[in-house]
Amino acid sequence: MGSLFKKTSNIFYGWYIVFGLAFVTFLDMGARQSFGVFVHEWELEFSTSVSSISVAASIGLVVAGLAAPLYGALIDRFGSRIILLFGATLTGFGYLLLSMIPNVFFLAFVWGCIISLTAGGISITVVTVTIARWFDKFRGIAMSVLLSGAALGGLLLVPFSSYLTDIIGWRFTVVGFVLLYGLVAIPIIWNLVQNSPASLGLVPDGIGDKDSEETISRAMSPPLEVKKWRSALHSLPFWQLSLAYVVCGVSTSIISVHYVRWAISEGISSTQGALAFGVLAGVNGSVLLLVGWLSDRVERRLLLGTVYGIRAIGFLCLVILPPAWGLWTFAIVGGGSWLSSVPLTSSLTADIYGLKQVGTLTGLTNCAHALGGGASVWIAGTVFDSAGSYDNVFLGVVIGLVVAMFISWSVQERRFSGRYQTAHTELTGAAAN
Amino acid sequence: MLPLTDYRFHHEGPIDPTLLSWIRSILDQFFGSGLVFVIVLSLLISIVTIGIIFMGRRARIQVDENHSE
Repeated sequence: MGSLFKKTSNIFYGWYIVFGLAFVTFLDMGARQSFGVFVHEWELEFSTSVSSISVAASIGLVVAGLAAPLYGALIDRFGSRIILLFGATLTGFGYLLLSMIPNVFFLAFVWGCIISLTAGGISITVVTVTIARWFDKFRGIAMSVLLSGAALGGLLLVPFSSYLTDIIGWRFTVVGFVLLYGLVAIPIIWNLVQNSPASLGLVPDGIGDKDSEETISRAMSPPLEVKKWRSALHSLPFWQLSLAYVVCGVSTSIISVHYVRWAISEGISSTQGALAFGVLAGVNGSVLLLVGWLSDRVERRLLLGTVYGIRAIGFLCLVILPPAWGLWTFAIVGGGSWLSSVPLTSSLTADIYGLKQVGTLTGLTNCAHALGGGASVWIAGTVFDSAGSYDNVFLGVVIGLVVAMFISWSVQERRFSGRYQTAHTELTGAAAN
Repeated sequence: MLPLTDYRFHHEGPIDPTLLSWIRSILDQFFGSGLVFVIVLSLLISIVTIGIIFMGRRARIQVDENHSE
């Protein structure tokens, strides 16, 4: 741990950005996930149906997924600070408009188009790429700390919104979000976020004298480093990571939507199903930090493949174990692999393709993750409606996850990652000496 | 697309309505009422925001000083 710090009393500035952005992500994810809290209110006030409101969510999911590569490209061009400020300001403005909508058509426009598009500026894509530029050796743990903010946001801010809606109504609760963006997110980004360590005269991880600066500069020039993002499409690792990430999106989306529903279909009470989902979310947060810490010490492809493998075992348990056993086994096993693939995939993308186009490439993989996940939720629902069971869906996911495991393990990280290029160069140099 | 969102938006993210009621019942036991939870969390958010900004700015000033030395 000592090397995390430049001096014992002087924490590397990048960690302030990590904690600041983790807090911004906590607020942003909490605000977005509060959508579900307002549905009943909208249904009553606008005298509309659940299906009509769902159109807004549907448009929002597609817009957010498609916006990810666009924002990635914007960060690569303009830097993340301005994009984060732009995203937080316009998202706050979007929530202000949301607090004034007169009917469900405006809901579809404001939520589905404006908020979903502008919130892309402070999305997981943008914050992870920001952190990727600040860290090299500790990239895994830094991204895990950042993403733990997202995990906490849903658990704390959704009940917060729910209470606030009971007390002051949904419109003023949404105005509360405007205040959170204006008084919390924007000041944090404005005061803390810088595009790169170089802008403060620092080096990634804060470990910096002249020699280590050279080391880091070597680490940031991996063999597959691209100047144009399209070049990455002609290389195998991009497709390996993206395909595995689509399976990740499929498996997590299916569980986030259908887990409690599966429990009910198997005769388990919805309360117990929801409780197990709560355990899953709790395990997720702790294991996320552990995986981040480990990923800075071992090959990330091995961890990524293992995460998919463990998740496959979790899904298999849902099919072969008695329902009550399957429910809790999955909560532990599945929870341990839930968000862990995100820091690993984002870190590997930066390790292999360098930092010049990492925004666009991360955006593309996140887009595939979101769209694959959205489609799979629909397919899983349709299969359940026709077959009356989730067994075939879960078995399909097991097969997909096993394939993703082998695909991840087959990534030639030692050959292409900047981390190992440095070690290789140093070893070669040492041998020559 | 409707069947997708019909399932999805009720459960957007890791919170579903049953889990939300369960979390609320625990928070009610702990804080006594929702209002107390709202006030406590608002205060915590304010303190953390001020703390992060204050410490971050101080760290940046120190970085600038180290750099100028």
